[in-house]
Formats: sequence, C-alpha cells, structure tokens
Amino acid sequence: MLQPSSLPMYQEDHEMKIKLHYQPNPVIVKELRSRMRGWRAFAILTGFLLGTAAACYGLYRIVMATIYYNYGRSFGSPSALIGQTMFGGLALFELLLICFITPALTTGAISGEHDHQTYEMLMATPLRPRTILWGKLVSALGYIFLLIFAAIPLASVIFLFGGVAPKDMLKMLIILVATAITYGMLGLFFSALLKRTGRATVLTYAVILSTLFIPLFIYSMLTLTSQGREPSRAILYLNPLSAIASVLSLSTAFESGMFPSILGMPYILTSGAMSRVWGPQGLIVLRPLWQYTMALYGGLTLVLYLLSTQLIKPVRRWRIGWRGLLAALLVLALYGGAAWGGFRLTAARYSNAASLMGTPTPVAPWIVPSGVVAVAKEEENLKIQDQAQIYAAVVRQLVEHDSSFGENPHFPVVYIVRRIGSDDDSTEMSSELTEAILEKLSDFAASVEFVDDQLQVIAPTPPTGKVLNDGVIIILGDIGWEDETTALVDGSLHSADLVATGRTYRLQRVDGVWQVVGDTGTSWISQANQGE
Amino acid sequence: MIAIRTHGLTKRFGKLTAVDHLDLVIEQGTLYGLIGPNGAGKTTTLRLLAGLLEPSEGEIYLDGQRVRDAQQASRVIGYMPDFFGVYEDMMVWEYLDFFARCYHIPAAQRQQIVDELLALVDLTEKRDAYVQTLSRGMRQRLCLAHALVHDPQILLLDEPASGLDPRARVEMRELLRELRAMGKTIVVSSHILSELAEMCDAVGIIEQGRLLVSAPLQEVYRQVKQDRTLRLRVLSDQERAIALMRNYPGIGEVYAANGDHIEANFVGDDAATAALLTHLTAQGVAVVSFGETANDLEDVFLRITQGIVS
Ligand SMILES: Nc1ncnc2c1ncn2[C@@H]1O[C@H](COP(=O)(O)OP(=O)(O)OP(=O)(O)O)[C@@H](O)[C@H]1O
Ligand SMILES: [Mg+2]
Repeated sequence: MLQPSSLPMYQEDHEMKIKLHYQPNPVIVKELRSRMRGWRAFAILTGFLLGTAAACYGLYRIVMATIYYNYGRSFGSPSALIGQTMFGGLALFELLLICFITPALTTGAISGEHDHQTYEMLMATPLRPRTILWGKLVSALGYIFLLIFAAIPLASVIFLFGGVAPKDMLKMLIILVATAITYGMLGLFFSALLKRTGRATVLTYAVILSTLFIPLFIYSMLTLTSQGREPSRAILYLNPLSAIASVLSLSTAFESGMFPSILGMPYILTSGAMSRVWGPQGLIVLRPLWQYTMALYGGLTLVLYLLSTQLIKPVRRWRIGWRGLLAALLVLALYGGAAWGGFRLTAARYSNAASLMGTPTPVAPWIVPSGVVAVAKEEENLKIQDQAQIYAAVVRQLVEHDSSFGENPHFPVVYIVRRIGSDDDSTEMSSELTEAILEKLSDFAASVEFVDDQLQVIAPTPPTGKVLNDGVIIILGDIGWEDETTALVDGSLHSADLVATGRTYRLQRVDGVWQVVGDTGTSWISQANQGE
Repeated sequence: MIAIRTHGLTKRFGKLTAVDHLDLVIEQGTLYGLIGPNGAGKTTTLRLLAGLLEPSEGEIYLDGQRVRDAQQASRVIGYMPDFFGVYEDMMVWEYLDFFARCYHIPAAQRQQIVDELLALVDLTEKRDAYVQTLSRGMRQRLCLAHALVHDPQILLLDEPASGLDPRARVEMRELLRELRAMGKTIVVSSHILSELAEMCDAVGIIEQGRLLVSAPLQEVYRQVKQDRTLRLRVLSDQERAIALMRNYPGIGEVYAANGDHIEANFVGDDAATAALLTHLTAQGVAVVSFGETANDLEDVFLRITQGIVS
C-alpha cells in the first residue's frame, strides 16, 4: 500500500486556490454524468421527438378532417388555420409533457439522498444547501429544457403554414420554461419536506393536477351559474393552460371558430371575453392572463426555493438568523418590486383594462359575455367620422395592398358588407356611417357599394362562388382598442366564396388622420384548390 | 493538544436520552475507540460531532474551536457513516471526484488526489467500475476514501469494520494505523472491543448514552486487572483455604473448581494479590499454584456494561 504522507500532493494546502478557480456546481456535474449516461437519456429524447412529430401530423390531419367535414373539399388550403392549430396543439402537448415529466425528475432529488443513505455524506461536506438545491434543480430542468428546445426545430414547421407570429412562439417558450421551473421547484420542495420519494411524487402530481384543472372547473361552474357575468379572471391566474390559451387567443384571429371545436374546453374558457372586453371607448385588450401567471410563478418559485434551502439543512432548520431572514425578505421584496414595476410600466397598454381589473366581481355591466362580440351602445363615444376614416383606411389597405392578387389589381366594384362582426352577433352600420365611408372613398378607382349580405353578390350559377361583376367583397370587423390612439380592426377581402384573405389591422391617428400602421397577429389566406 | 472536546453533550429524542452529558476529551493524533452495545449512543455521538445533529445541550470544540453546524465541522472532519449508500450509475473515480468537488478542491489536484486515495484504499483496479458493482468491503473502503478527500485532521468512522471478513478487518486496521501515522485524530466506533483492542490508543466505553470509562488503553487494562479472577491449587485442606480467603478483604465469591482448584473473584492491584498469597502461606496453607485466569477486554466490556442493558 502506498504511503500517502510521502506523496507531496497530499501535504499541499489547497485552501489557497479555492477562490481563484471557478468551479461548476458539483451536484450538476454528478447528476448530468449519471443521467446522460448510456442509451436511456437519448432513447427518451428520440421517443419524445417522434411523439412530437406524430402529434404535429395528427393535428394536421384533424384540422383537415374537421374542415372537410364542415365545409367540404372546396374550402381550399386553410394554411394559417393549420399553423395555429399545430401551434396550440404543440404548446399543449409540451405543457402536459412538462407536467408529467418534471415531478418524475425532481421529486426524488432530495428524498433520493435519504432513500439511498447518501444524505449524511452529502451533508458532511461543506456544500451549501442552496448549492445542492440549485444543482438538483438545474440538472433536472436541464433535461426538460433539452426536450423543450429539441422540439423547436420541429415546431418551426409551424412557420411553413403561417398564422403564428414569432413573438407568440417566444411567449409560449417563456410560459413553458417558467412552468417547468415552477413545477420542478415544487417537486424539489416536497422532496425536501417529506424526505420520501413516493409521498413527494404523489403530492406533487396532486398539486399540479389541481392547478391544471380545478381553476378551469371553478371558472366554468361560475360562468354557468352567474348568468352571463364573467367570473373574476384571477381564478385562472395559476393555471398554465389558460396562460397558454391567452397567448393563443391574441394570436389567432379575433373569432376563429375552429379552435374550440378541436382542442376543447381550455380554449372555450379563455376565448372572447377572457382577453378583450368592451369598455366605454370600445373593445379593449386586457392584460393577457399569462403575464399574471408568470409573475405569480416567479414569486412562488422564489418562496419554495427559500423554504427548501432551510428544509435541506440537517440541523437548525427554522432557526434562521436575522441576516438570513433579512436577505430572504430583501430578495422577495426585490422580486415583488420588479414585478410591480413591470406591470406599472406596461399599464398604459392595458390602461382601460387596469381600471377594469380593479373592479371586483360582480363585473361591470358592459363586460360582454364570453363569445359575444357586438358593437355596443358606446358607439356614440366614437365619432362617426373617426369610424368612417378607420374603415375607409382598412378598405384601401385591403384592396390596394393586401388583396394578394399581385400588383395593382383592378376590381371594377368593391362590395362592402354592411353587417359588422361575426355571424351570430352582428350589427349593421348606420346610414350615417356608410355615407361617411363612401365620402372618404370618393376618389377610389373602383366603385363602392354596400350590401346587406355577401351572398347577395356571389354568383349562384356557375362559376359558383364567384363574386358578381368581377368584384370583391369586403367584410369588416368591430373596432377594437389597443389603447386610446391605436385601433384594431379585422378586415377580409373575398374574391370568391372561399378565396379570401384577412388580417387584423392596427391603425393610429397621425396628424388627425387614421392610418394603417401594421397588422397584428394573423393574416390568413385561403384559395380554392384548382382541381376541386 | 486536544482535538475533540465535548462539554455536557446531550441529545434527546423525545423522552429518550440517546447521549447523556458526555464529556469527551480526545488528544490529537490518537486513535480513539468508542465502544458500547447496540443502542448505546455511539452513532448519535459521532453524528453530533460531525454537526449532523443538533445537541439538545452542551458544546463541542474541535481543535479548540466551538463548532455549531455541519458547515463548520466539515472542513476539519472526515465522516464515514455506519450505513451508507452509493450513487447509482457512477464510476468509482467519479464518486471520489464528486466529493472532491464538494470540498472545492481545484481541478488540477482532483485527479491526483483521487488516484492517491484509490491507491491508499487499494481500489486502483476498480477505478472505472461502477460503484454499485463493488463488494461490501470495497464500498467500505471507498467510503473511507471519500472521507479523506479534503485531508481532514479528524476522522469519525462509525463501525468501519462491520461486515468485513477477517482479512479485510486486518487491512482496515492497517489503514487506520497508517492514517494515525499521518497525524490524524481518529475516532472509531464499534461494539466489539477486541476488534479495537490492539490498535487503539484510548477507548471510551459508552452505555445508555453515558460515558462509563474514557482512558488510555493501558489504564483501562489496569482497571480491569484490579478486578480479577484468581485460580489456585492447594496441596491439602481445601476447606480451610476457602474459609481463609472468604475472610480476606477484597475477595468476592470463592468456590471450589474442578479437582482441588479454587477460584475467587478479587478486587485489588498486583501488590494486593501478592499480599494475599503471603497471607495464605503465612497461615500455613500449602499453595501449589497461584495465578489469575486471563481476562481479555471482552470480559471487561461485559463486566462494565453488565446488567445495564437488557
Ligand atoms: N433519529 C432518531 N430518532 C429517535 N431515536 C433515535 C434516533 N437516532 C437514534 N435514536 C435512539 O438513540 C439511541 C442510540 O442510538 P445510536 O444509533 O446512537 O446507537 P449505537 O450506539 O450507534 O448503536 P449500534 O451499535 O446499534 O449502532 C437508540 O436507542 C436509538 O433508538
Ligand atoms: Mg451505530
């Protein structure tokens, strides 16, 4: 046997060098070494990617099948709809995956050390509890993140179909990552608290399933029993499903009827009034639910983290010195301040919404029940002239730039449908308004006519579906408000029954004139298949 | 210099007092054996010293410094628990490397330390084996190696020899001697006294949380020797000899053993024993042989702890 004392190394003082070297967290190194070893990690990754691909393809088939079932083969290529459905479906798939995998990876993290009788040895080292906790969290989440991010290339198939803004993709990623972190922390917390993997796993799943479904259940119960009044949105703040849905409902066209029928309850719950309400000045966009969810998850994660660092300690668990207490309070206060500041800074965007949120339930009467979007009495608040300018600008934009019929298409006649809004709830433009619009479009190349219904000007005999007189039909939506100087309007242009393009336009008042400054969210295009 | 000192160290688990006002003093560089039957409080004592349990009462000083938590203790102490597991899916070298990282040992030295420790505990050949494939004895040695990565001055080893075969025990003993030669203070617990007898410098005997004896080994032997079993043979008149002895101070039970032997329990040192013999011959008892039966540590242990634990 060697004489260690004779080896020079052993006598060297390593204390000196400690601070000079950055060292990766030992727990991370250890966990990754054993987790990524062998074929298992990669088999799971492969299986996951195959599953995601299958889910994408499945969603694609479902959308197509739904469309054919409802509209027949002549619907054409509903590209944006496929993109949006895939986006929503993938987000949901990944969220459920996170909900089921995260506990499996984290609930054994601390209790496993107890189970394997390695806890004492770990505690006898100078590793700090927060280092251990951080290491466990990062190594468990690292794997989940690997899964999430590995799916991104696959998810970018969505962009081929269109209908989803990259910004929304980013928001979705933020939600998924934050949910993974929060649920991971929850698993670690129970693992440290209960010291038994089995119990920690059961409890973590129980809590996760409750946050997934109980708020939705309560919300839908309240909706059913409260006779058209919206329950407080706060019920849904902790629910990751509605966070995801809140991104989707802003991203998709204002009333895309396809989603609810395909993906079910969560979307029904979060559509319509969840994200937009009618205020005194028209339609306003509420602060999306996901922002509340993220703020709460951040705070929750911090609190669980701080509690867990105490729980890990073998001794003196709850005797925290005033310094530790002060540091913890400071961290929480800083976080709270940052979140509050963030909400304050962006409050202007949702200024009307903010005052709305301050109103406790029962909600103010002008909140329209979910799914119902109608021009409300507040119309008079907006001057007819303003409305006419806005609609005229949209018509110009649609006909001259966005018709997707190439450069400078010439339509001899433009039919504007007098009816505004969705099929089941619509209002007619007043005659003052139509006249004002006509006046604003007096210099227009095409002649402009108002019709009560688009079916009036669609040829009933072959070529079926074509607009009479080689004209185009324009259908306009309600005027919504992002803030006081920015309006949002849906507009679509149909050159045949199923050949159409549509966008949500953003308009701003520049030098007293309303102008189109861009479009938010989706643009969709559908064209009849030549062969059909 | 004193490496470990405790003052009124007490640990209660509910009503049960596992460690009861322990005043332990262990000199630096000694190999100290903590001996006691099952449930005596050895493990609890070691865990208190390692900072893994919080004392209900009392203080712990390591190298003269008051120690309050595991953080502080971890720098001077290497701790090997009685029951320990190993991480799955980890190679032997990775296992040591992990603990070296935990002790913030720089990368440049880690590899070398790992290799040296593997050589020290004779596991060089198993360097790339998975930890869960090691035999019990190998794990024991690996665990000992893990306690040494940061070159601690104090080693707390909880039953390091349990579950080892005789050969492995000898090797473990060798290893401990070697470590003592490096100037380390080593506390070893065991419930088998003889296992520690040859190598310890000092022993403490603990029973129901109380330290009954804590002294250098020689002294313990001396204490033992005062309580001895004498065995003598007289030429004739055995009854008279027995009667004489019964009246002699310090003699306990006296009985006739096989043939003409007499056995007697006697409390007294060597001088008192010699005086007893003189007394017998002076009274005209013809003593043929006079001696004591060899008392080993095991007997001592049994005698000291007799009847206290059921
Ligand atoms: N965590 C605990 N909770 C409650 N009682 C405990 C705990 N740990 C130890 N005890 C009790 O304290 C007493 C001393 O236990 P300890 O493990 O120190 O004995 P020991 O001397 O190491 O015994 P052994 O030789 O069997 O290892 C026992 O009665 C035991 O039941
Ligand atoms: Mg023990």
